Amino acid sequence: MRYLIISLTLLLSSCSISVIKGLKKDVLEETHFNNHYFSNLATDYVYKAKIKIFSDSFGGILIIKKIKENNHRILFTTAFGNKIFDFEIVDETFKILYIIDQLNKKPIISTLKSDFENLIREHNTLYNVYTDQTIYVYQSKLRKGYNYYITNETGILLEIIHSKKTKKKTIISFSEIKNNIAKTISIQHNNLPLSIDLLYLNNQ
Amino acid sequence: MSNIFTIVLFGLGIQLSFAQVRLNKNEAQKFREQAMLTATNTNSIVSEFTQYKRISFLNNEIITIGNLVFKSPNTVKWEYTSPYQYSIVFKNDKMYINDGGDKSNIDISSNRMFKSLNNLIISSINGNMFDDNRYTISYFKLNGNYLVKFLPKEKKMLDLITAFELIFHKETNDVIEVKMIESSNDYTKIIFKNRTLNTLINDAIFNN
Repeated sequence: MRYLIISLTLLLSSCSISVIKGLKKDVLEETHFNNHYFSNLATDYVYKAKIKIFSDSFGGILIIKKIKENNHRILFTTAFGNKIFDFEIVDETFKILYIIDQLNKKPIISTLKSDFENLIREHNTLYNVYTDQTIYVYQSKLRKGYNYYITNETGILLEIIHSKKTKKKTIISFSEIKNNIAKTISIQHNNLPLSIDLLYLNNQ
Repeated sequence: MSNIFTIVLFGLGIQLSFAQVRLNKNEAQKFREQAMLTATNTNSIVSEFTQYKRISFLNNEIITIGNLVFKSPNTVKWEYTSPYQYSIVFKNDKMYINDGGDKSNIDISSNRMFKSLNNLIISSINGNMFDDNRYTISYFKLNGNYLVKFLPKEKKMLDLITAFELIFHKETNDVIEVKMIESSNDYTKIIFKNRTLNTLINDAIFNN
């Protein structure tokens, strides 16, 4: 019985939308939230990357480049420069240009696809905003789930939380932010042992 | 005006094509024997390197700097020091990775991709890639040094790399530059400097 109560408590607490817990709904003044981190056509976004999938760890370089409006390339190479994967996102279409055999598995691809779409998606239609005056949580819809864009009071994007129904699925955290570039980015999943840690390399 | 440009560009084109002169059969054979002898006689290599990664859709090359230590027959430490710390040691069919203090290792004896990567690294840094069964090989003189182009024959490798270009020093016949060209024309170019051969290497350096 005691275990049943504990399990029920855990189940109920995981069902609440913790992202907006303790926040008040505010008046939405903007129709869109713009994520500027990968939006500059002139910038090569080059990151030292560590991708952990189950017990495997892939170290290398992650390159994100906005080719033109609504068109990004995402390329991951080993430190030597050998390609591990090469994706292209054009509007809502996700293309796999190359992926090594070890990663060419449906659950891995669908997670990477979702992560990179969430990470680079620039213009996001808003439905709600919640705040406690120190942080602002902008709610946007993406396919079957929600994306929450969390900013500080000056509008700097600190986190993107992707959730399905009421459960947090993916948390993307940005830190050491300067000139619309996040020097460190961490992508964590609550439902899968896959994490991505990025450190910006200034090669220009 | 545009005609003058055409003439200048055409002239440049001729000069560039002259900069790379194909060796005749005898010259190629002689060079190949010398380079293979140098590779066989190389027990160790210690070198600094600068790596340039060109990707067609980027404005700039990605430049990384590091050190290489090689001990015959097949132990290598490849260490990046700038702009980040990352090192790989290939030793006893294992790949030991130190990713900024985060250590891991991979058994490469059963992993075809890593095994061929290991073989490629070793054979390209000591210049021992002269395998006619695996590559179509052509030989050139380039600014006094030797340029050798290796075009892979295996379909699986061709998907990744269309050509390896190694530049050998004109006097010492050891490798001073490695270029791996991908099907998209993107490439990784590694230029070695302060290279010393056959010095005594302490095995502790390979503990990664």
